[in-house]
Amino acid sequence: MKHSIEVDSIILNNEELFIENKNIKSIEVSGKCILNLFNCNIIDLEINIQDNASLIVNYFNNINELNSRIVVKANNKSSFILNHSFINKGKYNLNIYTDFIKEEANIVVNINGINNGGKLNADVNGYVHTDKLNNVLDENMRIINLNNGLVMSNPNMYISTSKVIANHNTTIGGVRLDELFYLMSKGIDKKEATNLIIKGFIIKIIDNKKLQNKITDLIN
Amino acid sequence: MLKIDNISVKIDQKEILKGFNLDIKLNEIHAIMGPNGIGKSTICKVIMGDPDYIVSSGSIIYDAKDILKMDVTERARAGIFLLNQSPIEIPGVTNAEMLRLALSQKQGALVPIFEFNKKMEEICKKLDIPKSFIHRGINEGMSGGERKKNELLHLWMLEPKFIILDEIDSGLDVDSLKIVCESINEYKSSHDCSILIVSHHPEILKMLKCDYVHVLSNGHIVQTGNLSLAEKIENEGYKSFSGLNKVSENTYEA
Ligand SMILES: Nc1ncnc2c1ncn2[C@@H]1O[C@H](COP(=O)(O)OP(=O)(O)OP(=O)(O)O)[C@@H](O)[C@H]1O
Ligand SMILES: [Mg+2]
Repeated sequence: MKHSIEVDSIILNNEELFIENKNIKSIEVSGKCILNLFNCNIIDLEINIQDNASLIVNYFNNINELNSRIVVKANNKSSFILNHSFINKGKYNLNIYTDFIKEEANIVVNINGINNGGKLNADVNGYVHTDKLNNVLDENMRIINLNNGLVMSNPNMYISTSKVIANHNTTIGGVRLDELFYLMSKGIDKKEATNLIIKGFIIKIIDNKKLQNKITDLIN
Repeated sequence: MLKIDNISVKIDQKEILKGFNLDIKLNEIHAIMGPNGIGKSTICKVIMGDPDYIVSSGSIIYDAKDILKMDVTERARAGIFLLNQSPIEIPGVTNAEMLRLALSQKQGALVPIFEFNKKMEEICKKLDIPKSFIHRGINEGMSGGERKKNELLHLWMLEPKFIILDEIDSGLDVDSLKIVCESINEYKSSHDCSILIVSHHPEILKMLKCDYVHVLSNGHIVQTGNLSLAEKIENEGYKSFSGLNKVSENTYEA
């Protein structure tokens, strides 16, 4: 595996990386790449996906306090998928900006977060400009809010072309009651059933076994 | 083993069951039939303790215990098992971890992994489902028929005493139906248990050698017979049953 990590910035070329407990400032992508991030501090990150390149980021963070700004630039025929899950017990400000530089690119942002009594402010801003054609933008944010946490969430789309497919949805709620009933009906008590549901919710969008296992260990 | 005495059940202010009685003894198999939307799944979920359904009067006694006072977990640990009409999926939680946790909690000790895996693999083979289901998310991406078999895997692992099968035959192809019935018959012959089954078809009731067939209407059982009653329904529909109306808004307006 050929890769180079400079201080805070990563250059990826046709590779998969697992990074833990680091601060990341920029990611430059060519070819097909996958980045798995466990408890990395992302404060101000810029991601640039070159023409025809693709990047999947699986990113979990256990948060006490974090102000995070992520800017994504997708070039011609590129693809970017962010699968971000987190548990927030303190204060989490998340601002994501996605922009299509050219045409026929794909951006998907999946966020599954647990806000456990914390204060969460999650904004996802997707831009599609007039002259940028045939791009696809998909934003999905699902938050389970526990113990009287506070959630402010804004999925924003700034779209000035009709040649785009853009979709966003946000769900904020508690643990799903049909799932709770199901697990309890197998003989699991309410507390453990809730933990299982939370664990499943957090890892189901993470497309990497090692990262899934790390998260499971952390939650257990 | 399970005695339902004169219960009334509401959901969203709408009365679904009224004056419902049912008495199931150990090792008996009872079937409930009835038109769509009449309340068959409702009674199944009420026995399991689904909090969406409000039991406003009557009692359900199971193994000499008033289960209306027990929560869902307690009912499951007492041996009640519900195989839902459309089992939900829980991605991110595997069959194995769910079952191990359930068994460990019930037994108060960690389940040895080797025996656990061995048993799971044996059951998968019997049910003709891939071993990969063991570590797959619960019902995740599974077809309707596969889900029913996956739930049967749970049944074999949890070894319940009172089994509720809500349309287990729906979504099963002919071969799968045969495998599923063989599996249930095998379970029944090796475990003391009772079964309550809901189905629209006499086929499965015959294959399981059902003892009693009940027809549900107007919120309660209006007729009880044997397998020939199921045949009669198959041939004639529900028209010939006296006083059969769907639960209608004006009949039971809360
Ligand atoms: N969660 C719910 N909210 C509102 N109404 C409900 C709910 N669950 C069931 N009902 C209503 O209760 C009635 C009985 O439903 P139930 O699912 O018990 O029918 P069923 O006899 O099992 O029908 P089927 O043969 O189609 O499975 C129906 O009119 C249904 O619409
Ligand atoms: Mg039903």
